[in-house]
Amino acid sequence: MRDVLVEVRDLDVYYYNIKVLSKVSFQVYKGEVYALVGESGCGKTTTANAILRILPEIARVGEQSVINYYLENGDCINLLKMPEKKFSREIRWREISMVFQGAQNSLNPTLKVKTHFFETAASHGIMDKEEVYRRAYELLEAVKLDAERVLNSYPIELSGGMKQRVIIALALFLNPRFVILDEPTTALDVLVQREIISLLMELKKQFDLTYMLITHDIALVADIADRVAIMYAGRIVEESSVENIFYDPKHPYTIALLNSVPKIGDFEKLPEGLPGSPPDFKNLPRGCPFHPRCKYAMEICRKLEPSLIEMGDRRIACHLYAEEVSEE
Amino acid sequence: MSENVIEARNIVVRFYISTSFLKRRAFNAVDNVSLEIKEGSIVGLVGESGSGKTTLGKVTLDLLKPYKGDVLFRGKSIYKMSKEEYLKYRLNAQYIPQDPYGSINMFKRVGEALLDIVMYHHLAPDRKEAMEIVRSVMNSVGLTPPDRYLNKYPFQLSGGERQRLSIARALILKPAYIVADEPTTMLDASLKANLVKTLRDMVKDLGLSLLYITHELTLLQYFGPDTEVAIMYLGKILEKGTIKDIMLDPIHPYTKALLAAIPVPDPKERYTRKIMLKGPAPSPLNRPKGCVLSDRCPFAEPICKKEEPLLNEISPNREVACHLFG
Repeated sequence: MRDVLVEVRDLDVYYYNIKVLSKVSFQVYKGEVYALVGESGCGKTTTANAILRILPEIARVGEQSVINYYLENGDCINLLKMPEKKFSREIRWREISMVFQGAQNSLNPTLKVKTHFFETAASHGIMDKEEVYRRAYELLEAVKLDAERVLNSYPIELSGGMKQRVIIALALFLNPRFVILDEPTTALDVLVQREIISLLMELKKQFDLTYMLITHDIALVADIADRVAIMYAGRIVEESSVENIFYDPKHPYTIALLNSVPKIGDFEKLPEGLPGSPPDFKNLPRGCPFHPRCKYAMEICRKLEPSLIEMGDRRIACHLYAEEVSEE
Repeated sequence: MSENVIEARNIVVRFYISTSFLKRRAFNAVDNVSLEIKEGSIVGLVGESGSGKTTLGKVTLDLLKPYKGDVLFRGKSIYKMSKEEYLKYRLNAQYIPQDPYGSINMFKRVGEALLDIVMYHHLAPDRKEAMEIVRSVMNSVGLTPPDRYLNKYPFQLSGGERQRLSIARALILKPAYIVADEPTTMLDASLKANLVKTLRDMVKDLGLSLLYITHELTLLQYFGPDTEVAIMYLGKILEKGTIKDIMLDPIHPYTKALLAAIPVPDPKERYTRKIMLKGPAPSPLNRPKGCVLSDRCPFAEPICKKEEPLLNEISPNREVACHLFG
């Protein structure tokens, strides 16, 4: 059995009284790339924010929810039960960090890149500017930037790809073991995307990292993920190895997602795109939340929500594959 | 009908940046580029950010004045038009912007936003008939049923719905020519297909012409294998051809690199993919001498660094600007 690094169990998150995550459970193994995949608004980023404990103030985490994190010495801690002070001192950025979505906007336009490093360091109690500068220099070289120039630049002087590299360097600043990548390549051009992806994989090797990838880009998942969880309406609907998901998808939503990417040079079978619109959390349909858009919806799908069951080496929540549930 | 709706001739767009106090440096964001859009056809303009594709699109809409060059609308230069002719061109050339979040007035309801356009241009004698036009446009772009959306504010719309509103705004004037500037970048993959298909059907039904600006080659496939595509890099067009030829038989090294970089949803592919070009794209300020790609091209030869290759017709409907093929 592989070593577990992060275990999320029955994670419920409410915004006011609206449930946006429902019983999300998964494990991330050490050294792998675990991908959370789904359309915007399906709860992927909320899951990441819950792990890093940066949910907005209106959010409430369910009582039963557990997020276990395994430290290097083997100790297991429930992140949700930790006092905030201890969490920010010992876990956030030191153990778990995040590359936020939208490289263009997450740097402060009025601060030089080096100031970003100083501030990150200061908020974690590191005041020695010379040391910070040296470490920042090292990291910027590791992400293949001209460190000297970039440290003294303002964000406006950098291209989108360069900003993304700076953000990655900032995420690695305190030597984390677990890095959450939230849409690391959206808003970048295809050629730059490729460079960032191969950089991320190099860094993973170099610093012995574990990644959780959050994206709606199926092709990116195929490129770097080891295991994949497909999310819909705040639930995991299917989870398995990347091979299983791509070569033998089972859940109708997974199949629809995979079919949404056009293939190069294939003019005959162009994807149709999903009918209908993404789910509205304020009034989720009864039963399976996907049934209004599902080709295979049956009577039971409109009444009973399928639970996530194990089926061989995958987990799936769909009535098509769960006769035993429907008999109840 | 093979007449050109829009013809851009040898367009040069020059931008200036201040390097220090009172000092400016000029660079050409678009450098001597020509583009023709035939009546009722779709042309794809593909390139990375900074390649000048949006700039060129805006020139054809007269939102930007070029430094040199001419834009013809139905054979007549838009810079030499009479007032009436220019007004006619203005109404006939519309724009679908990239960002549906920044480009829609957030204080106007969907119905008002569209109705205002109709009333402003006196397209209908009274409000009732104007409403009919609004409804029919909303139906055709997929904001259905219209009554559900008429009273909504933009913040109540999803990204896909906003973008449909942008399309409705452009279409309501029944233009002859539309520039769509990456209308799908902010959308999820499953919605992209729907939106592109909506656009395609509109173009076919109304017989308009479309310049579709994007960095995603694969999306252009929805417009059919014979869609014309121009590949831009650092202000130059490097290759022109039908989407089918470009995808199945790319000639220019940059086009090849672009195609190789398109992510393929197949886990097996991850071991065989590599980056073909050296380093990042230079800023247009430090454009290399000779061929614009010469500093990154793996096949570059001495001549590429000295002499600029010109677009050369190598077979019918296929033009390439590369010393290796010409």
